Amino acid sequence: MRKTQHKQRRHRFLGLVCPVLALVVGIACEAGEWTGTIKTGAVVFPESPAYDAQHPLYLSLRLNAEYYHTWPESDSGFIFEPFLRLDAVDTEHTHLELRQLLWFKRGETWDLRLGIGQEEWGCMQSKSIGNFLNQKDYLEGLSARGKLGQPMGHLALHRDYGTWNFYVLPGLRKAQFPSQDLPIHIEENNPLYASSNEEWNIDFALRFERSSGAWDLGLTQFYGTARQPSFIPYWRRFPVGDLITTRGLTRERLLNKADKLAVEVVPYYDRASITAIDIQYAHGPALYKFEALAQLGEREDRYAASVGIEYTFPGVFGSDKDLMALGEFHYEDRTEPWNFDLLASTLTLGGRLLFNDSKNTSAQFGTMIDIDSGGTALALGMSRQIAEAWTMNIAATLFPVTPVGDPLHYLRQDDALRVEFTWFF
Amino acid sequence: MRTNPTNVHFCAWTLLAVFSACAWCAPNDEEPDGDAIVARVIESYSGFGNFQADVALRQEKGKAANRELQANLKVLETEDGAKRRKIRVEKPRTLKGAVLLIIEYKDAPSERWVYMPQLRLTRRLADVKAAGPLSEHQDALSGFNAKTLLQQRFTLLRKEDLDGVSCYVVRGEPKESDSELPPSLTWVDTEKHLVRKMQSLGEDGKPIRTLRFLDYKEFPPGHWRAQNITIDSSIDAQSASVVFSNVSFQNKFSKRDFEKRSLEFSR
Repeated sequence: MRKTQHKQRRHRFLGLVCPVLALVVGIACEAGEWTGTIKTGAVVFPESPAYDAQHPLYLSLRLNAEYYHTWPESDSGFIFEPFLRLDAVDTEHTHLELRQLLWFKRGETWDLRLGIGQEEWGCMQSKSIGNFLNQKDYLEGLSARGKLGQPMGHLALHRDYGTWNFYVLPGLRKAQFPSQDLPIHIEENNPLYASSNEEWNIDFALRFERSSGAWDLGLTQFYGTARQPSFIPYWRRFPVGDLITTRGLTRERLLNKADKLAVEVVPYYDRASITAIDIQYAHGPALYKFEALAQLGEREDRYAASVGIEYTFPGVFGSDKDLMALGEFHYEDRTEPWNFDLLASTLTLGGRLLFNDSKNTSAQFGTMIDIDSGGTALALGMSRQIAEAWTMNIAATLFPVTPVGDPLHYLRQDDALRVEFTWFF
Repeated sequence: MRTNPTNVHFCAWTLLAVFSACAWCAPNDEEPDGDAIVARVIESYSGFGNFQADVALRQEKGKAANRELQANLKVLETEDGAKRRKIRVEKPRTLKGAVLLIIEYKDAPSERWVYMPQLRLTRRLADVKAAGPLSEHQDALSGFNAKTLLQQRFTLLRKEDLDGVSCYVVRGEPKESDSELPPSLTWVDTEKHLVRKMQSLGEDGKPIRTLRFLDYKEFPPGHWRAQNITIDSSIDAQSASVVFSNVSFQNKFSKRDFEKRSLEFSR
């Protein structure tokens, strides 16, 4: 049943994308530029999986391309950015996604963008709570940066004192989850909505941005369907199969029962008013950051704040290497305990060491500690250019502390080693 | 009373020596002082409005030998006295499309922004001179950067020929006592007031970094730019060269093209 739904979803999407591809190829014959990457790699899980559907090895291929074409005489242009992941082991991770399909026009004091686009708001590195306009691409990982393209009309008015951004957002991109990676089946294709228009509600956002000297300020007001769903849990008694709502049952209690029950959750997209602020101050080698968000929903209220510092040590320890160190603290208060946010209230410490050698070698390291449960994740990685257009990345992810009830508990057996080769074109 | 001729000769020679020394030490009215020479240098590199060029940076020797970076450079002078520089990387392909924007104000810290195409993200960078090629050779990549000169006081040391060109040699010392700028020597062409060579000096007075500005060419209307800059570092035995091509002035740039929001459109 689920596989059929996935196939239907992919086929519908391909039906949409193929004519667009044909259009783009037509334009491409005229002019423009293709850039992007093809990544191929493997993820190895040395420990035995926590859930039956998981595998010890995943092989995948990712295409992230961008076609950019401009008409200089009219100061307008076109961006097309498809994304494709083919997973040799887990078909649920295989997906084709349209990240951008935008026409834009630039005036002296304004910019207009129409189509499917992406927006990056906020200033935090590990998690930006104010960066919520696009739906996350959870199939790329629960904490991955990838996002789904959002249908939008965006008008930016540039004034001396700052920029006003107006957004009209017709439709919501539903989140898709890698169910094989989770102990719970998510009924992602039949979500619930606060809006009677369901996924076709028209949402609005207004954002003011100002950069003045060392200060950057962003103020956002959004009204519409919140992108991040909460989840309504149901559990099914074996072997009868009665579906019983468990609303009000805590996540901890339900997960303790998860071995005995088949649990399902249904995503719920709340209608909410979201107000967010982000501030960044640069002083010498330091960047000081702050973000805050208040989400007032019909079902759930959510408050969150983040503070952080990013510090650059040039020529660290008297060497010719540069170290960029990062410390961020995220706090989140939700009335709804069911969510899959791995970075709800955490301390994140990390760094990036640039070797400044002929191969552009860099090393990354980071740790994320849940301040409530003590759940801890570690990440180590290294990137190096192996040819003019090729890089190799090696990364390890470890979950040394995964208390029961913490979202990291789902990943307790998921220590992994990732090796990737990327070709840039 | 008879005068001792030995004393007369001694006094005469002493006076002559003192006068000669005074004459040698006294400032020559025809020679400008060091600060005035550097003021002329800054003047000769200013007032161009805007220019752009293709830039190729190649590390010749050292740890990063054979690293090559190709970029497009655009520079704009604005009415507030700020200089805006935009560097878009073309090569290596692993960095293609990355754009660095540096806004240098006269009396305020610089702003630095980077656009990363893979992440579709524009981020502010700390105002620090890191060791990466874009940062380390930032002055050379821009052809010439007068901001560091404004932070120093200069004394004229001498005149000398450099590669057949008559030059003033001026010594620079940082104006601020807590400045991280090292003392410097600068060779300035006496005729056109173009910089021919710059040396940063170590604590022992020996050169630690030498920039040579070669192959000067005039671009209408009367702007001179070096087509080749070599950089030698004696500390880590590294050397690099920066070659400029397709240089053009008076392009149709506006301030809009040099703002943070423009970086994602910089193709």
